Amino acid sequence: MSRSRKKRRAPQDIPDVELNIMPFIDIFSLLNTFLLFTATFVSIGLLRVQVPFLSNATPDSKPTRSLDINVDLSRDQIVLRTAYTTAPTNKSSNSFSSSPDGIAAFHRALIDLKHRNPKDDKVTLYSDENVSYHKLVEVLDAIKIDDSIDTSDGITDNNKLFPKVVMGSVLL
Amino acid sequence: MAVSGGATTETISLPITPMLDIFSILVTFLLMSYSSDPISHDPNPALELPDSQTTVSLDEVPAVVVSKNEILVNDKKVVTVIGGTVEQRHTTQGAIYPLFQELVKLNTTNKNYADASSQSGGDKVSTLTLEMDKNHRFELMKMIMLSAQQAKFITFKLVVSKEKS
Repeated sequence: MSRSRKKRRAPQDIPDVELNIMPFIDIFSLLNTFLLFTATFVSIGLLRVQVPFLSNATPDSKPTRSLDINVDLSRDQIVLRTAYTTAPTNKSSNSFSSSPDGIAAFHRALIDLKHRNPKDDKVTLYSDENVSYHKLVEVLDAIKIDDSIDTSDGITDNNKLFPKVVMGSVLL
Repeated sequence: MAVSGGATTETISLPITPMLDIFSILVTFLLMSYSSDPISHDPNPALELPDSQTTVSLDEVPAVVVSKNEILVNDKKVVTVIGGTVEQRHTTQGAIYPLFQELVKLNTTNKNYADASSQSGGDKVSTLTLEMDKNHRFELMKMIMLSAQQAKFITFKLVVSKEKS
C-alpha cells in the first residue's frame, strides 16, 4: 500500500532537505578563538649549565680514574682536550673549525669519546669573550645532545651525551 | 523586472563553504602547532632566542632577561646594555653590581619561600633561569654569571628556542 503511494508521488513533492550547519560554524568559531588565544608559536626549551664553585668537601683519598674533557671555544676554532686523571694520562688534543661542518665533526668526536668512556658525563667549557651566545648554544647542543638517538617516542631523557657542562671560564 | 508589491521574491543565499574551508584549515593548523609545555611563556619582544635541539621544556618563568639593550630581573630594569656590554661604573670585579644586588634579594626570597613551604628546594634555590638575546657575546654572559655566582647561584638554565625536527 505505502509502496504504491511512494511510487505515485510526483518529483516536485520531495521535501527540500537542507543541512543546518550553523551549530557547526559556531563550534568552529569558538574553537578558533580559543586556539588563537592560547597558541604559543615559539616552543621554548632549556639548556642547563653550571659554573665552578668552591666546596669544603674533603677530596677522595683514592681518586678513581676518569677522563677530564675540556673544550676551548674561540670565534673560529673548537679545541677538544682530553686527559685521564691518573697515569697514564694519555693526553690528546683535537681542533675543529667553528663552522657547521666543524661542529658536526666535533660532535662525532664526542660521540666516539662517549662510546669509549660511557661513565663520563662532564665537560668543562672554556669560551672566549668574543664568542656569540648563539654559537655557544650550538656548541652546547653538540656537547649535550646525541642527535643520532631518536626521541620521537616521547622519551626525552635518552639522548644525553655529556649532560653536565661546567662553564670553566666563569671564575673570579 | 521586479514589480513592487511583492509579487516576485528572490532568495539570497550567502556561500559559506569557502569560510568553512578556511576555518577547517585554521583549526587543523592551530591544533598541529598547539604546545603542551607545562609553562607558557612569551619571550621578551626585544630579544631573539638562539635555536637549540634540546628536548627539555621550560619549567619556570625566566628570572633574568637580557634583551638587546637592558637587563631585567623579574621584569624590573636593573641596568642598561650599550653596545653589548655594561657601563664600566656598574661593574666590580668582572660582575655587574646592581644585578648582583638584585640577585642577592632574589636568592633570599627564594630561600625564605623554600623554608616557609618546607621544601627541600636546595636545587631550586641555587638555580637561575636566564633568557638572553642570541647576538650578545659571551663577555656579557660571563659578567651576568659572575654576578649570579657571587649571589650564590651556581646552576643556570639557558632559555632557548626549540628547533622543530
